[in-house]
Amino acid sequence: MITAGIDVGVKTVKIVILKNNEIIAGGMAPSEGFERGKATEKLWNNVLKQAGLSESGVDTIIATGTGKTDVGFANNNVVEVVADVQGVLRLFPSARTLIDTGAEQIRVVKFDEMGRVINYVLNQQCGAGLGAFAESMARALGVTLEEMSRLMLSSKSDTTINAECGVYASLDVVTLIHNNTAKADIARAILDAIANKINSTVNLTNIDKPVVLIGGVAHNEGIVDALRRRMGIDFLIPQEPEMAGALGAALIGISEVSQ
Amino acid sequence: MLIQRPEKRWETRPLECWNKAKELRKQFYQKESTAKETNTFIIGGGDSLGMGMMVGMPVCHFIHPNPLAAEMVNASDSFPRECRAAFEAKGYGHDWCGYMASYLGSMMLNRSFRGGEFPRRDISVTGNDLCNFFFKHGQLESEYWDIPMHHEDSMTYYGEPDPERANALVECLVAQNLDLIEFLEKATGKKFDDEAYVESFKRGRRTGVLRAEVIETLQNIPAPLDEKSGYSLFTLGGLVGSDPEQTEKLWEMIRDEMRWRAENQIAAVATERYRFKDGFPPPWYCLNYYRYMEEYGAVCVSVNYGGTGGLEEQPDGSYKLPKNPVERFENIKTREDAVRAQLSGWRNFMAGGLPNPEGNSERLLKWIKAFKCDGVILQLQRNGIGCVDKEREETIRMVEEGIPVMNWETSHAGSRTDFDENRMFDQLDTFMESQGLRKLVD
Repeated sequence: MITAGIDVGVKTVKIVILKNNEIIAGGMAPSEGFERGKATEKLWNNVLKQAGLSESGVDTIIATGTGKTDVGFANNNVVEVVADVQGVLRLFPSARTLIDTGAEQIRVVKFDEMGRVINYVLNQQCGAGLGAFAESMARALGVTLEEMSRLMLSSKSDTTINAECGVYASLDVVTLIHNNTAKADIARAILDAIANKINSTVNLTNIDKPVVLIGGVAHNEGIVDALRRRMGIDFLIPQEPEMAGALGAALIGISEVSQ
Repeated sequence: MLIQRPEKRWETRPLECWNKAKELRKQFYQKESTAKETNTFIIGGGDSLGMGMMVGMPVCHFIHPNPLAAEMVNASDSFPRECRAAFEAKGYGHDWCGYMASYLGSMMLNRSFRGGEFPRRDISVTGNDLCNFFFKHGQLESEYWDIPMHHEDSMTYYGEPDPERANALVECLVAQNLDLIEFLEKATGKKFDDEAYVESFKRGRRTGVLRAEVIETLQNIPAPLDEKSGYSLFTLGGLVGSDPEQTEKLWEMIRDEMRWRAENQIAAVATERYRFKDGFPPPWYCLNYYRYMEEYGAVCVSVNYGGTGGLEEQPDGSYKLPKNPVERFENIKTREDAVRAQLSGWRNFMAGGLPNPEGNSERLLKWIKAFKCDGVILQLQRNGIGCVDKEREETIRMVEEGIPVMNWETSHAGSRTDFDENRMFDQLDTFMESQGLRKLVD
């Protein structure tokens, strides 16, 4: 049986193809904003090529992510929370909570060994603490995200900025720049604020360990370090943390076809 | 979208009381449109006596900014945005409540969403309310039109329930409302009709009991009335103060219809399989939220917003009316006694009831059990009516109790500048799918 999972996020599209429950191909590409339908199709064709398949050779395609309804060729779609859980359980069978921090949303999900969601919490409209915010702050400092993360590690400052609102956080950063605060100290304040925001979302529910970090932000060592300090947890992080949702969607495809 | 097929279908049918309810609502708005010809004083704002004041002083017609603004935002997407822009251009912040920004902006533009000029107010009254924006609106309105203003204090506090303090607050509110009656007598040159007011108060109590009896029927599976349709009815006799006698008759009709539907298993939602409680209504222009949930076979059977309607918890956990809910008011004869009895409804609120998160969580849990709810949706309001005063604490408590709970952020009073409807529907999908439920398709 061959199934595919497509996770269409705000910034990136991720695709995983499974054959008999094993990953045979996968890929990630920018979702190109308003053109994400086209971007998804392009990546889909590339991944199919990589797998040596044609579309008719795939038994079912399940879409997930913010743009899940944009995937016209998908057979079905599933909400991100459910896809994430399936993907994480496949990667870490002992995991009981996941924190998914992507470009515009934080999802904290607690689940049981069968993959049933026990409870979950999403951040609300405010965009602070998310990938898109981190990127815009890096641009404001004139560095890349990776550089901002490295800069942070050299700072010993305890400068803080607003963690709950992206607009206020941006204003705080402008103030710090006007006050000639060192770039490394601002970087630390920004990444600490992001970790605070993730932590405050986690505090809105109860969680069980082990906790898995997924989503693009899990790549950022500075944020992970700040989060670890705040929560006192050693997180499990997959090698490709942004691919968990697509993997989960492909796994859901297997159960759909089996039914 | 993953789907499921309905396992059971209940019989359903339209509400027979619907057209009568629409007629009564129309009467209320007609009074506003004919105010000039009938020498009626248009009062901007709202008082604590509601319909009672309009019966005692029939020369006064109260227009509360909240329902007016809700109607305005429902009628148009662009006009409320213009109103907010006009309001903010005067220097008021974007964090102002959407109701007030729409209402005051419309006043500043001197344009009514119904067409023509914004109808001039003759007097401004702000009754007891938690909302500081509502209070401020009274000042702005009276300055704008240069009209007399009466302003009540806000009667509440946060803390442990304190009956003695609550009684003192009720007495303070009674004194202010007696003062308001004298103020309106002076401002209009008309006498307050005590007899009509006392009678209307008693009628109001009877109407209240009928409303509670309707709420009681919602404990039935399937629910005979869904919350969205309920909203159109529950304002009758409250914010929509039409003829009291007709209002009472209508509520008798609604009560009888709901009891009949409950006895005969006539459902509001034919595919009911999931029942939820709502903390607050969504922004009024987004009531299709309830219809969206019906696609999952989910029906909203109760909302914190409406309170318990006077029902009391029974030893078996169900909610029923207390004994003799009306008789104890039948001996009331004077204006002061009626005002005191009417305002005593605030006592529980003032005794730390509403703003007490712990007490509210307990009440919510009991209510969920009695109304056989499977989950709860609690809105996090950004400014405006019912701002977040307990929802976070309630959410954490629900999680502890293993009750599925969803939060979503909105501005109930919003002017459409601050609400992402698609994102909200996406969150509803997440809430339902995470519980293993899928949209129902035949």
